Amino acid sequence: MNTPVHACIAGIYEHPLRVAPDHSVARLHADVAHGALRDAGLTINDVDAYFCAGDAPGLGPTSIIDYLGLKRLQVVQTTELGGASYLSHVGEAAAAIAAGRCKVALVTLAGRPKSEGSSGTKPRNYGDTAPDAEFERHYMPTPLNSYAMCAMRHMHEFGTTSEQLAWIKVAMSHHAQHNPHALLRNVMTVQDVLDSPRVADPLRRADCCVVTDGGGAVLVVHPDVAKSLHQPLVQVVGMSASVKGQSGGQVDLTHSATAWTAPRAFEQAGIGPSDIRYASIYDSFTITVLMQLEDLGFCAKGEGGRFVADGQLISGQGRLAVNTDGGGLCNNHPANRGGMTKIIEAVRQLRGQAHPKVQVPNLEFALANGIGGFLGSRHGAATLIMKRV
Amino acid sequence: MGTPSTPLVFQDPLQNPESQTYWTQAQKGQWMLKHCLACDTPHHYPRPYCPHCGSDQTEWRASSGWGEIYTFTRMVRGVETPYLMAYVRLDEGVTVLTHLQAPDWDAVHIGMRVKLAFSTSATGQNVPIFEPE
Repeated sequence: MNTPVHACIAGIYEHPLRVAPDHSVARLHADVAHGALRDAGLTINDVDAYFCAGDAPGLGPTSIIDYLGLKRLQVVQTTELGGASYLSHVGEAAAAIAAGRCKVALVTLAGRPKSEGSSGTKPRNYGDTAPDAEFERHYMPTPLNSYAMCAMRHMHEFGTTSEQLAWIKVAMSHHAQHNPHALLRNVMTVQDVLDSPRVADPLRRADCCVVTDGGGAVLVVHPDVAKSLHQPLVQVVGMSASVKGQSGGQVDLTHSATAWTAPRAFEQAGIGPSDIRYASIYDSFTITVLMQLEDLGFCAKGEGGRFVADGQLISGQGRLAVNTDGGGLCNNHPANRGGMTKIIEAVRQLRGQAHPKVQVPNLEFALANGIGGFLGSRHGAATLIMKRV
Repeated sequence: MGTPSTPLVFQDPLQNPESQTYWTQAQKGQWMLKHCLACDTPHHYPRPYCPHCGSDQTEWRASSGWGEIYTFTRMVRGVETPYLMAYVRLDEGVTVLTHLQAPDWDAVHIGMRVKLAFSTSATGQNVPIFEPE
């Protein structure tokens, strides 16, 4: 049997802007594409595969490929799992590379919800043909009320408290103080979070992620290409994606699809949760983090509140460093899609390029996990595991 | 948290030929579920093919209209009119997304018994909601 080909993440780039009213979304895609290529030491003419999600402007990849001038593509793919899409893209790109179909895959994300007035309290319109629309749209489902109902149920079943959820925001704020690009850089206390206004109870304003313009990109390349470049080698060693909805009315709001993807990704990587000391955990809301930590197996179901409390997610002092860039809760949530920045900070950590105040020393593995869409109705999840070699 | 005095006026629900029974019966005071004859299981939202077993042998059946609150939230900021959103677990075993109308918002809790009621949309369509027993 041949040795499996482990594709590598050779280029990363996070757009430095958080408000970009003068940039088109297409230009933001180009900014991050070229940024990731510079980071890797490659050029646009090296790219032979392109991945984006369903929100890319115009005709999606067809428009952006034409705009960027990508001319020698062998693989084009769009997977739409909301903000979790990009974790899936990396895994699918690695699979295409392992299958010999391409060597340099570009994944981009960009958007400007901040400039366009987006808010988590406004209903999102996925069109009149969404199969749930005629039974749900008049009830005005929004990100906030959807995730709030998950938090309410979690508190009911397991005794999770607002104070425990607040610790997640507090940890992200401790990390964000060291990130000059972060939208929110002030360190917060549990009391600060509890004092912020209730929006959809039990969630308060500080339980919510930021809304930002910008984007990010990653390059997934064949290991032979990666070895010719200058960045430390970061392999893709596990990825699994799935979708969970209302299950035809068998609604269960205390488990996410991560409960299905995590075991598969860990099995591919040949490791378990105890091998992970840094994790990028999708933080659209504080409750999102708590449920993923349980579903990833870092603690038992229902123990998430105790797992995150008392600074246990703060790098250098807690049991698991999470989102050392400040995450979506404080740093950046470009295009209302947090998956890309989750990958980028995990790669920084594995390379040893995170901020010195938050860098976890001597990492071998890092995990990035995403929940896209609406946790309270239908969402996509993806688990990505990476290894420094 | 208090109970807002302004009632919500729902936007007109989307309707299409496949959902016509749901909305016609709502106008008559019923919440219709789809029931699969192949696996003897109800589902919601309604589909022609059963999401549990894939059979197309599904038929409309009226719910008893009784259930209990599975979860809820009081949406109070960033909206013109505050509202109570909830999932209600119907006695038929199906959990449905809906709204609550309650005289005292602070008394609403998970596990509370609720019964089907109706609000009306801008043009007079019955929109199903639930009220405390």
